[in-house]
Amino acid sequence: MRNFLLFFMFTMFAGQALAEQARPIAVIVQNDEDANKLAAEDLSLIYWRKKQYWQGGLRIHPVNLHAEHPLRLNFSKVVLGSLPATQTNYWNGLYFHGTTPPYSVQSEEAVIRFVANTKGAIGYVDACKVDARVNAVLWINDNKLSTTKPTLDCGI
Amino acid sequence: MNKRLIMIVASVTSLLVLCKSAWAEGEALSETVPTTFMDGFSLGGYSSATLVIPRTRSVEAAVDDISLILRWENDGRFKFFGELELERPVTWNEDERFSHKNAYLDLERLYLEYNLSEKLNLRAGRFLTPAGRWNLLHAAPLVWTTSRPLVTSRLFPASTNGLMLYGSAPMQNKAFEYTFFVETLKDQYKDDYEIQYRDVSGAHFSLNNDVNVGLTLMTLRQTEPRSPAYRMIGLDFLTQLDRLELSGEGYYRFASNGKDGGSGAYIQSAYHLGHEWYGLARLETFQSPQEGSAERWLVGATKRLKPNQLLKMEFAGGSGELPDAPRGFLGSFAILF
Repeated sequence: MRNFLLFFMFTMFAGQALAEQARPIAVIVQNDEDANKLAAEDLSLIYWRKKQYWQGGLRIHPVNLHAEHPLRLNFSKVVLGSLPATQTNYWNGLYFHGTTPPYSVQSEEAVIRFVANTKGAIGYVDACKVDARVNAVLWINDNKLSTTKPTLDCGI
Repeated sequence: MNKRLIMIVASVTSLLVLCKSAWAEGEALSETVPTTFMDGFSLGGYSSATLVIPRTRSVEAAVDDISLILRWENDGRFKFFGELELERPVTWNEDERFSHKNAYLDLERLYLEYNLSEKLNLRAGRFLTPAGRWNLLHAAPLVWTTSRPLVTSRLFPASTNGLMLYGSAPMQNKAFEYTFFVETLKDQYKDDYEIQYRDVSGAHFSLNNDVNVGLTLMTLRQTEPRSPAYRMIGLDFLTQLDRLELSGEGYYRFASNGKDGGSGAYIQSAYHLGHEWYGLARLETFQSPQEGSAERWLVGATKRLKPNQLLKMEFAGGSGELPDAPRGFLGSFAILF
């Protein structure tokens, strides 16, 4: 019985983790005209802090989840092509030139609040957690970045 | 000089104690965006201390530099950046013991930036000459070795006073970066070993992805009378192959009088051994009409103590004696704050 319970719990956690990993990520911006014109290929430039202004001259404020968050790891792998732990040299180099890494927050709710309240901000959350406070402009699904909203199954 | 030096060191220390460092992967900055003028300021810097046991000269230890970086930005299109460096504030050697006679203040960088458009920025002031990779990231906590490849410091000026236009654009999942610059104001005199240049202008292009490759084009002339004009071409690269980081730069100068203009190259590998230890190897060659030629090999190990701290140890050998490239053991500790 104990083994069965352990197996059941393991299956539940593993299933939840897989569902977490498989869920699409939405890239969110404020309901702002410039940010809504975001091209997919600009996203990595923004998160590498190579592109710091929207088309109209507004400063871009990218926000990250903390470095161990599963969504951050997935986003970093797909968009930046590497994991946060291997980016130390890059960020130290950019800091030397006066540019700091994107802001970092602890939860997806904090990302949504940051984006909703900060002009020029951009962030990413689980696509099922997007609400009316922000606007989703790009999606990451099956390790691919796309401008088309995927079919979401938010019931899991 | 004694009092002035003590005051400088005391001021630097006080500032470091009082100011919150901007370093730390953005965590310390999270959830706040500058809203007032004063909010836009942040202070950081770096420092390093070295021990050199050369084959042919006496042992020397030094606090190499204490550098302060002040930057300002808010939500507008302007940015300010300044770096003031106290070079060699304290040195020790077997003959003179402790000394600070080689100490001097150097304004490394001081510029204003204005964002012209989504893909173009204008920088005006004193900036690092955009040539290759090492010159732009030469601070001790950002490079694997204590010694610097000769070719990255002798064939072109480290800094330029002038104007720069730069930007980046996406190109098939890569970042294409472009920089154009021109010198508009004569460089300052720093030390006896430094080669002075004038009429400097050029461009740097790089394509950044799995393999980061760059192209440097430059025209320049030395300040000494009857110096020929030089046209320089340079290539640089950096790539990561699993645990191995490979990087290199090469430059060739064409002199207007048809004579040899100088050239050089280096290739360096840094292999992640585990537990933040990196094994290093470098080969370099350098040749210039004024300084002759030299070859260097280097093997060493560097430990990343923290993301912003490096402890380096290396042995260098080869041919030719040049003041900035001692042969023997070099060790150092570097911190970015």
